[in-house]
Amino acid sequence: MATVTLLRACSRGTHRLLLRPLAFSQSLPGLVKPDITSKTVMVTPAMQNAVKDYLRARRGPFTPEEKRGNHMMIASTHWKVERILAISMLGIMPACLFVQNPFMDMLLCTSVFFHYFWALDHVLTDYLEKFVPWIHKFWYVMAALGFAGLINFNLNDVGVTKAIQMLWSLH
Amino acid sequence: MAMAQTLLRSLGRQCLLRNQSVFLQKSLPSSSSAYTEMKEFWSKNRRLERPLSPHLSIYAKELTSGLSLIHRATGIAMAVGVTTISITLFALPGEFPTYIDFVKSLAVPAPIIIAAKYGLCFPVTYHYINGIRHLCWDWAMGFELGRVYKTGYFVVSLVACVCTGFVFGC
Repeated sequence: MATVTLLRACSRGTHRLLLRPLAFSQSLPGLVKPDITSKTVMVTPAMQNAVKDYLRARRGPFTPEEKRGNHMMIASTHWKVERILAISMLGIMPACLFVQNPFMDMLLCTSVFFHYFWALDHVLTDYLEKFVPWIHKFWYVMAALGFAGLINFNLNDVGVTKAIQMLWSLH
Repeated sequence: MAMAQTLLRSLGRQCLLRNQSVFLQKSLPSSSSAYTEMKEFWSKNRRLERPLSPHLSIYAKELTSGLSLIHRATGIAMAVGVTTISITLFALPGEFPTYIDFVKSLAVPAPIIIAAKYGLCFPVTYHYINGIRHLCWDWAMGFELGRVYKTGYFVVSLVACVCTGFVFGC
């Protein structure tokens, strides 16, 4: 929520900050910081307009087709699967503190991977998709390489849980 | 055969694969009235050059939005970090214990080790504990403003305790 508003504020351009703050601070004395005029950044009008146009062109409501996307599951099912995974991770991660073996390595890697894979994908949808539409494909490639690395680490090296233990034993 | 058909049909209609176009009974409408309304709203906003709400940069900082921001930031940092470390280790020729031995041979001073451990421990602990809070919200629990602040302060203090416990205790 906060990040969304932050990015919105960034993409809105700064000229309104220069023009409006006084009116705002008078109307909303409790919510508004009094010293904001000193924190504004000077940007030339040409720069402002270029940035504004660039951001404007890609914003706007997404069509129902765009929102649905090309996914295996409908969004609500996906949401449920992600919550089930997150809740099971609440048990898996503490269990790894006590048990270190190849099965726990794989369990931890798979659950953590899918949690961050989906979550970062949503983050990209929230903030970057409208500016760089190919960013999802880039993330899929990087995530696949990363997962291959994790599996390789578990099979051909000490394994993740053991590795964390070794790292933590450094004094 | 008939049973397999029934199974497939029910899977397609009700279960995980129900969004696949093969299973759709009829084509969905291409635009909804909600979308039309949204479109009008957006074009009106553009025409009138309205600022978007809420106007974050003039708002005072709040604990609640700050914690939410840190939750996302730690999540993004960990996702990028795990991917980077994993790909790096994949590409490097050595085994993990050799790197640990190398770090041991450097004889890094204790304060730096402790700081690094805090740096590694904080995102995991924070995301885990605050994640429970977020999961509760997903089930519409604890949304009252007073409770949001109470759980917020509780999470901050618990993270500080657990983090210190991990760094010095384990």
